[in-house]
Amino acid sequence: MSEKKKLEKGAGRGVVVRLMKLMKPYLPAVGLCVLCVLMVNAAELVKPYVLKIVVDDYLTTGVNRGLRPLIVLGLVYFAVIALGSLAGMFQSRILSRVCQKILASLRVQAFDHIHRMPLADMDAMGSGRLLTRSTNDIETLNEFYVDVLIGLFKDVFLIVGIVVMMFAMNWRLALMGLVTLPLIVLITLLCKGALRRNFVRMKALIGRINGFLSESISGIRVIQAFSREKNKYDQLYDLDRQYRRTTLFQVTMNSVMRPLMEFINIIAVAILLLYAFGRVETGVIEVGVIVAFNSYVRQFFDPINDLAEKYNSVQSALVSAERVFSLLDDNENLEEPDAPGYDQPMRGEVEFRHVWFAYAGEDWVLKDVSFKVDIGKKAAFVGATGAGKTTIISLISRFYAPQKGEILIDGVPVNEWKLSALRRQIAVVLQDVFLFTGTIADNVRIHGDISDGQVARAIELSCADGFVNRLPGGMAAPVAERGATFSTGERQLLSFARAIAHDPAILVLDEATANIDSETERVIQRSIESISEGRTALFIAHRLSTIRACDAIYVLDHGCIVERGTHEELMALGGLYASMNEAVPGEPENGKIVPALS
Amino acid sequence: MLRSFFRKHGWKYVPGALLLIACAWLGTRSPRLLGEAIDLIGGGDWTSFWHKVLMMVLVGAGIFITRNGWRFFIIGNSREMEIVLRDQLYDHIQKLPVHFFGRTRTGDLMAYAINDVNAVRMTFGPGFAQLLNGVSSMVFSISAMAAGVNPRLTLLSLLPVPLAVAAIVLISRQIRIRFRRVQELFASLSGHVQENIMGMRVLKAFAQERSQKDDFEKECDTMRAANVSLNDASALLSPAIELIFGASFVIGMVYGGMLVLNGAISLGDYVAFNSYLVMIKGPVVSLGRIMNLFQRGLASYRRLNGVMSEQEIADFERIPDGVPIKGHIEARHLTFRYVDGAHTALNDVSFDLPEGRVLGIVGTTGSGKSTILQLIVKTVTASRGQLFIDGRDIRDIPAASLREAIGYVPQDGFLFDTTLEENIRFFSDCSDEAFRDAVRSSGLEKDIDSLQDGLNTMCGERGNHLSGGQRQRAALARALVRDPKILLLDDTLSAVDTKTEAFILDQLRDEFKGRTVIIVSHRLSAVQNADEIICLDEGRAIERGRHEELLALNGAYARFWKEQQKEAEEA
Repeated sequence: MSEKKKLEKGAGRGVVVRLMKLMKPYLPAVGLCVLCVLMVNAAELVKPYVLKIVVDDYLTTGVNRGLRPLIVLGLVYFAVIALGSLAGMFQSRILSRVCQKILASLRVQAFDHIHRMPLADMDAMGSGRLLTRSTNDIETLNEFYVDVLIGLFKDVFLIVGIVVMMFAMNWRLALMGLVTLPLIVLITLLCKGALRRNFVRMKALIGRINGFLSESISGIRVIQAFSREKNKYDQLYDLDRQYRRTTLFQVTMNSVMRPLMEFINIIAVAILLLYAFGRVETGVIEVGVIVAFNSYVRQFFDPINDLAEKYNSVQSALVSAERVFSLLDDNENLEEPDAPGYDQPMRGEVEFRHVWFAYAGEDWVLKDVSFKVDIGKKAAFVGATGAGKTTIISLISRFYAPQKGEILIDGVPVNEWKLSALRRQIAVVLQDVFLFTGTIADNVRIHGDISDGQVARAIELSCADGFVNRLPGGMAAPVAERGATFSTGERQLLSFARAIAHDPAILVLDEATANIDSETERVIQRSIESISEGRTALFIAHRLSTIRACDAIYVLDHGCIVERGTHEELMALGGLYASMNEAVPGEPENGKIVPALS
Repeated sequence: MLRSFFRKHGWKYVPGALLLIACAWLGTRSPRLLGEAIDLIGGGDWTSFWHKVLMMVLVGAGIFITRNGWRFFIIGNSREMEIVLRDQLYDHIQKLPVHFFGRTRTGDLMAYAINDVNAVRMTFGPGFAQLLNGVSSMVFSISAMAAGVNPRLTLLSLLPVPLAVAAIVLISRQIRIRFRRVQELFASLSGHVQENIMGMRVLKAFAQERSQKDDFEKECDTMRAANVSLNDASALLSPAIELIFGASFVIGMVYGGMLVLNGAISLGDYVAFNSYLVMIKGPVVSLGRIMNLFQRGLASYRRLNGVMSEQEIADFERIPDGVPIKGHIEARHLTFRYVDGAHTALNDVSFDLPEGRVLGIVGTTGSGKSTILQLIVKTVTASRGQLFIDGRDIRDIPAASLREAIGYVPQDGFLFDTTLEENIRFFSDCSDEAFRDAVRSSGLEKDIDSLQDGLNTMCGERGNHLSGGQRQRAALARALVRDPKILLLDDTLSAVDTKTEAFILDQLRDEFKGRTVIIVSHRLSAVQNADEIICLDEGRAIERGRHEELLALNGAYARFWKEQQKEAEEA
């Protein structure tokens, strides 16, 4: 909605200036482009004039001056065409080189920028929009340079040139020829306006049709199981009829506009002819002038039509440009992974001191949380969904900063650590395992400098070797479709291997709640034990066995640590933890997942 | 697949083509008239002169009218074709069996319905029109030039034209190849960026977010080079055409001028001849585009036909036979293998589930649990003599009748992007009371209170505005609202915690009354109260009986149970 509004309002002049500034390093090339455009236009204007000379000076004089001057004029005509079209070709080649360089550098800038954005900003923006900014929006800028900047210049120059030529040849006849011009401009503007509005509607409808298809094809099982095919078909039928209304409007407008322009041209020529009758006889007007005017009048429509069309691309290019720039300009919170800071091997002591945190405003997710995990110790965090468990992970890795209080690793506040050093030494395993395109080994490495041997060792340590070895190619097996071919358990094991391959001092693990059969369950359990050995480990835990093995358990409730101690101590306390562990009434404990812990 | 379209709308091509040919013919009249007017302009014959000019204007008006006409009939018709094809395709896709969707990606089907339909439309609309227009204006112009002006002059000046055709064909091919490369690069670039954005949390967590900057720079540079090379090819097209036609014009100008001087042709002929040359240039230039349109249209049409030739579910399945379903389900040595499956999904499974009873099916992933449900809903078809509903072979019961009587709750709780209420009703005309009951029994009431817009909440794409548990409860309500005789729960409560599960199962117990229920689950607590439980392993029923009986059996079920108990006891 807001984008549509922007389209209508038009983007600011600042954006245009900035786009122009990007061309600054290529000024000589741009100058050459302009020169070429001038030549192209000059050729367009000269061509009818050559014809006029042929007619007036050689064909209608009644004196046969032989073939030679005709051949010379023919060669001149050909030279004009050759110069014009070659100039056009060079202009296009130069411009595309300049533009593509600008676009490529913008793309790299946007890519880099996105990678340095804090997660909070990324989440706020949404992945779809970020993608559009860095790809399609930048692509659209091409239009600004090619169509708009150079095109505008070309069209305006051509229109002015035609008028000047006509007046220079015969100003009275020129006035006659221009009688229909206001009509052409008026009709073009009106039609283009209507077409533009219609186009917006058309786009919106095709978007809805697309959405409808995507949804109903993915939901086809449900539709079929409920025998709702007819109802769904009716929905599409309806959308399609709405869509047709817009396409037919477009067909009608286009059918009227261009043929009407040509009709108006014919009227203009007719006016010229009627005016010239008699005046040719008396020699006031030469026949060749009429012939040239015939060409000029016809040349008018194209640049005017182009200009009206350009209005659209200017708008959309400027909106795109504005979006790209506003992304690049928002660099206040950018992360500096390699900014100097504390950069020592991590020992693995984690301490929270009176930490308060809210994602927005005063909506505290963590309230005055304090705890300390000594080197090599294991701690578990339990509590209901929304108690703030996962937030703790994000704070340790400095994805977010607390509003109050301090977080220290090895006694050094996290914000004094060099960001890359901090993150490299803390391995975080998230619930949703994200796998990248590439091989299994690539996914364990994620671009880190890790040898094949280390990767194999990590896979073994995390008990992922069982299924990896069964894959054709083993470690080198490709991960298809973001790992959709792997089971949840297998993905989980891979993410453990990934964590351990980087040999972190601290392991932070958000256990998945997903249902996994008991065999896999056991493997995962073994894997967790094996990878957490000898390091500080923080668990956002759901499994009893994981929790029981911990040196300390912290029970979170609405952002506060309400209980702390070992499993036995907490059970003896008979508080929240103990009650969470009680079996659900009326149902024998199935024990697989601790009730209400997830 | 175009047959039904042509039967209904094909006739429009006849007036369309006639008008187009008339338009092309009129188009070649105006240079002629202009030429004749110019011949008269220096003389004193005012009457014939203004007659000529008037004729010119009338011809112009004729062109305007005929052009509008053919565009209406041909281009307008192609827009009709677009939506008819899409509706037809979608109607067909909906009737395809489930395994088709297993091997076809949603994105591909969407591309068929939008892009390929569009390419076919372009061929039968603008493609056809341009082709016909090109051919007829060439024929008319050339004959007007040869017959009306001078055949020798015509032949000489058209000499370079074949060269232009060759150049266009060659360059167009280059453009196409390079364009494809640019598109591929753009897709891979977008894919790269998209993947990094989605996996940013991981990249950042391992401090690897900048490690790919160099790779990306290289990728951008390849993209830049490909774009430049595409532009170089297309920048060549226009000068090539201009130069070759320039040669034509020069020949016309010089040799034509000579003929004027010799008095072989008039000055008006000369001017008209020049206009004809311009007219010929148009179709030749659009040759590359027309070729492209036809090629793409043909490829798209083949793809569409490929989908259209997929076997639909038989008509018999889509028309209910009116026999009410009571809900007795019986499987006799049910054995099943998916069309493209490598192993047997179900192997010799038998059970007899009388009306109003509850059957539990448990087993690990891939043990064939869900297949039994698919067979009962008839999204896949059992062999004759193996599955019976109310004593009738399921092969003899139309899927439509069966499905009307079944409330099916899929595992993923798929919802559509509309309001929660519309999702639950799902086009069924249930009473408000039945609706409220379904909402209550599925445990959705609390969720509705917690949602800002309550029942009017938009569920989002696949229901992603709701939590997993909310989605599944809504899917449950959607099944209950139909007051089904048979209720199939396909691992329905896996996304909710045990406490909620217990609560919902408790609520549902009332709903189970008077219904035949099959609960598929890998969580034993969900099935322990069932009248019978079947334990599946690799498609075979390895154990069966009531909960207590299975425990007494001391087999796989009991082991599974004990394992869980042990963990629970540790607590």
